Amino acid sequence: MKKDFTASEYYLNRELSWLEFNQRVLDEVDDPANPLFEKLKFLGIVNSNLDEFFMVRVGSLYDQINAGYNKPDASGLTPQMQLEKISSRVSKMVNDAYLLWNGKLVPALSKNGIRFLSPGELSQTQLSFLEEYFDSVIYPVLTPMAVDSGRPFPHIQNKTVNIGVLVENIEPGGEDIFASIQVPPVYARLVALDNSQGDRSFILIEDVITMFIDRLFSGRQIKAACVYRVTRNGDLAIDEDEAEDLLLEIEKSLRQRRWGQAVRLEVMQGACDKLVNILAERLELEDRFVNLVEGPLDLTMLFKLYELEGYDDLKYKEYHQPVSPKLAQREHIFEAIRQRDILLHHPYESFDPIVEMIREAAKDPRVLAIKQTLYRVSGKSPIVRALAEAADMGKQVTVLVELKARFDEENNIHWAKSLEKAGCHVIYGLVGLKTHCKITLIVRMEDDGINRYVHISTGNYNDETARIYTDIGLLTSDKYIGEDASNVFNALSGYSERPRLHKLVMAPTMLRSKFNFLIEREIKNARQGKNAYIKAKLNSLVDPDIIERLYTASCEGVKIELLVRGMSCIRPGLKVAGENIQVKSIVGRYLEHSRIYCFCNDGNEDLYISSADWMERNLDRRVELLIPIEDPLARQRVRAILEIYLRDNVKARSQNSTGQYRLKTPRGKAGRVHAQEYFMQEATENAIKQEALRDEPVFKPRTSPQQG
Amino acid sequence: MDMVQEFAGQRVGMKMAERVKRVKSPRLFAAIDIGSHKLKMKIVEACPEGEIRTLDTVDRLIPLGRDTFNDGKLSFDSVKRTCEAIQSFKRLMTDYGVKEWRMVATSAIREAENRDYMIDRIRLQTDFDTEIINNSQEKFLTYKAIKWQLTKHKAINTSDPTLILNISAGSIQLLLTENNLLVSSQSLKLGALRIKESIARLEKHTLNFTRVLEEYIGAHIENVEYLKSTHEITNFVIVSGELEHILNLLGKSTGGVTILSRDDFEEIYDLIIHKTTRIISEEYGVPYADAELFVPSLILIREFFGKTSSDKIVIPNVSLVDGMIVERVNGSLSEEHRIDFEADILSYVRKLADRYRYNKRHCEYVEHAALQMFNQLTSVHGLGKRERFLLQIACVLHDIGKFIGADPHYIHSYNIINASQLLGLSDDELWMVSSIARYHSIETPSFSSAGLNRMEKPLQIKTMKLIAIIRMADALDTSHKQKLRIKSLAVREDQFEIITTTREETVLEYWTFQMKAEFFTEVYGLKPQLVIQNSMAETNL
Repeated sequence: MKKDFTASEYYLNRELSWLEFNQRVLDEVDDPANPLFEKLKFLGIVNSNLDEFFMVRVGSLYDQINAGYNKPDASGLTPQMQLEKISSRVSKMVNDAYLLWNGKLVPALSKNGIRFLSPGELSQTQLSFLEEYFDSVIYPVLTPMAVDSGRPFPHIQNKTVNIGVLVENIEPGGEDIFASIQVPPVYARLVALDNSQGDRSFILIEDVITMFIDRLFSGRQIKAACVYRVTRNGDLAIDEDEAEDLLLEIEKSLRQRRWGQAVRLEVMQGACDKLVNILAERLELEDRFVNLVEGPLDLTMLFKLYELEGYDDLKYKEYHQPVSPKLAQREHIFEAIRQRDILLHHPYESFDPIVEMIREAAKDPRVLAIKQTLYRVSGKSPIVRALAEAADMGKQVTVLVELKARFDEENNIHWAKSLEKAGCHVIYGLVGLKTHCKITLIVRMEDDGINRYVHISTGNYNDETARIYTDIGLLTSDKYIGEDASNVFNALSGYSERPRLHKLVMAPTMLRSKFNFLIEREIKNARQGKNAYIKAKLNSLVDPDIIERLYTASCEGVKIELLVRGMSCIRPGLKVAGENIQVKSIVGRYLEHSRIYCFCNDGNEDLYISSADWMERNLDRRVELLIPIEDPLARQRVRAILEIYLRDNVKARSQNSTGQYRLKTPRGKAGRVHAQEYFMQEATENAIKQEALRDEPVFKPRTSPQQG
Repeated sequence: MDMVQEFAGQRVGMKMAERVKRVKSPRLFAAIDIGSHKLKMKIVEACPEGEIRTLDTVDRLIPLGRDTFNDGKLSFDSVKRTCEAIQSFKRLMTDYGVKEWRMVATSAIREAENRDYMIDRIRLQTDFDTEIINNSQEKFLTYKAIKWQLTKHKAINTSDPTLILNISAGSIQLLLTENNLLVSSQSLKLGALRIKESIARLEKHTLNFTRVLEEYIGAHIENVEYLKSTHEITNFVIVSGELEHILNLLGKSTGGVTILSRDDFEEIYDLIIHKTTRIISEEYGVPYADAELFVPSLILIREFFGKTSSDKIVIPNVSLVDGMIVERVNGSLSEEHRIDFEADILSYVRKLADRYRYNKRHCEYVEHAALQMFNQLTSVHGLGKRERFLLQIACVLHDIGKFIGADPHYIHSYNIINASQLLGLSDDELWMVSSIARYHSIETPSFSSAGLNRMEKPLQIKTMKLIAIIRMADALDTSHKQKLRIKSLAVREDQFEIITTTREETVLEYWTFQMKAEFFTEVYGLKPQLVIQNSMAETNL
């Protein structure tokens, strides 16, 4: 009998799966192989990840509930049930995080001379320094806000640290008064203390404020005080059909976001119940998202600590990103691309050549036009500057700017406007679709006519993330891909309707059916007894339709090896689904971001890179591209990259059928594969080889007769 | 002397350099078609040897036809969207550095009441001039692209009789070629959309809608004259956006010329034909409005296919923009590489005259004489190749009105020509040809005469010059016996001397010539002198 793989028992909930991803980041804090300061950073990431998760995902679940939506998701959970499960999973994770902080990181830091002092541990000199610091620096900017019949509960801003206090009511018989003080975000969270032994000691600024809090309420008794933090719903809901001008709409919603519903309350351990109850009640928060925290709130402050100078030996060894040998040896980038396709593997190889390419194009008299999609680009991006320069030089520059990148709009609007001023033709995205593909097209008039140069990548044109995200980029002068690129831009610019493409496959129009076709073909081949497999590396596997097909494929004997960095809603290893599905995940020094899809096709492998994950939003609501890798050398390389990743057994954790992950590293050095380290080493060696080749003198005298 | 030579040498050198430069960089050209359903632009790069490479094709769906055909004029919104689309096309042209372009508009704009406002608005907002073309120009441009494509691909032997079926939304065009030349053209109001709309309501009432469509179409093409002998047709060429769309969906399109065998076609036919529009739309993910036209298009193709003895369908994958491009590229080719499309028109015009049982020998005589005069008078009339060509057509057709009746045959000729929408001629050109034919005879034209009164002044003058010539040429063969052989022509001071020889009695010719000479003098300021030499006498000497 045919199994119904659409049943909810075959799906993991995406929020819970995402939390497991965050758990894997947390596991890095506990990995003895990681340097201490990197562990701090991982812990900071766990925290900022959770913040975003609450603002976006939990916020959206609340939105669903508020809108009366109560349908179960693919895994059979209603929004209410999901919140329930998220609550208990988050509580455990927060507990584990602070256990690690208190149990491992604080002692380890202390061993390295970095101490976090509590008020009780301060010396007299330190005390008087802090008193002075409080009076002259902190006190002037503090604004206590009291709540009584005439004054409503103040608005507590998203993600700020605050101190709640209960102050004695001097009116006889009156209730204690609640007041709240925001810890001023203008000052560093960690106050550095003077130290005699050359060690470094810090105290949290909220502790300093708490020490002297009575000075804010002169004469009244402070009954209780606690440090707390609120996270608010930050999801954007824009009715695009109603929006005359996309840009204005987003600008408006940026201001609105601050007023989102509170979705989480974190309170430092030791607070009295009365205070916690007041907060939860006034913020209209249910108990489930009130987290009592054993340690300092908002560990994103660890990012600051990471920047502390003088601890390089407690961080990853600095990696110098070499320029791809294929580009290093050539003067002229277009010449190099014309020779053959060039594959770039970031961050192992430098992203600079891409920035260089735009700069070169700006100066090149033969270049007519440059077109590029920009998504989440940093404010001071050299790419943006290069594009503006090109427009200045009279090139036709078209830039598709994606405004809806979450929590990044302010940044986007700013530079988009500056590009417009420089004379670029700026398109602010498409109504109802986010442009997620990353593509650059350079049109050049050459002796034999118009030629096109294309760069397509799995990663954004962002020089900063290109240092920490793993991505694959393809530089090509393939005529078909060139024409496809033009068609893609014509569609994005609204010049044309559905583009007809030769080699590229575009979402939301064609990509889903292409993946369906590719999976179905493996199924067909497996049924006919042919070799059949699917190997893929992606960020998220959520799409129920794809998952259903993967189960069917597995049942028919298609071997499926997946490397999914983040959410994975499939359940690997289920007996009923043929046990042919294997899912691993790598979390490490670099954020795994490249997407590679490989289909056996009866031995005639189909190999692709893509900007798309197997998620509904990528396949149905975004403009994405799937790029076939055809050049034999490039194919070899992508294939090798995928294989090394799939063989990783140092960082790659295997997902079990219930959605937990386990690491199975072989003992001893032999047989260990650490993909990220492997690629760093490989890129460095290749660069050295290239350098040696270049420096090899033609006439090399022998210094002495060879011996033995 | 030396200096002059050196100077001349420099000039030659410069020209060489210019030529080398032109050879090196291919020419860029953009063709824009403001059609009834969409605006389309194609940007190409053409090498001097005639190779055309497409750089970009874009289209924007703006159903102008819906406005014009329903309300008689274009809506505010359509005009606005059209201007925006042209502006974006213009931007894309700048991306490639395109400096040459042509923009034409067809029936949706041509038939709109407010077309002049629209064209003015487009000019003001985009700086582009819109050229309005008629149906026969449109179809002939597409024909140019078909012929170019088939000649280049050598996919079929084009010297065999070939039927070209061009299916558009509102009408179909049937073209027949023999020996690589056009011999017939017919337009039927049997477009895919029109068929669908005429009998769409029947779909609900029958389970075999396909059969109904087949019968409807069959009945309509029964009377197409030259389809009766279609067993001789060995090539069948289709221009149909729908068929190309279907081939694309089925992954059978090659981008260039596609050839389907009868079996291939039947397979596709069976695959699509029994599906309802909704199923086609869902299954292939095409918009409903597109899917609607699939079935009628396929039936049309099959009906015509069945009437030919061709074993395959040739799909050249071209449209109007390709025609514009081919016209431009072909025009810049050297003589030996160029396709002579005027030969197609001439061939077609001669077949047309044949159908009206014209006096071939008389017409050939007039044609020959008129062209000789035209050539000799080049410095006097200052007209070009195209005018010569129009004169030639008028000579072939000037007497076809006799098929209807002798008196006044020239008015019949004029009416037939105006009604027959000569392929490849603009409205102005058609009026020129019909007017030349009308006034070849006894009626003497003035600027307010029928035909001429529709023209702008410069066109009137040109037409008058050509009329003056055909009158003289016709006079030389008044008796239709080709008595006078032209020996030489010459302009001498204020005289135009025509020296002829004959062995026969030529009083009628001489008398007619003198009568018509007055108009010639009025137009050219030259007095025609007919010298008739007796060739008997010559041989006797």
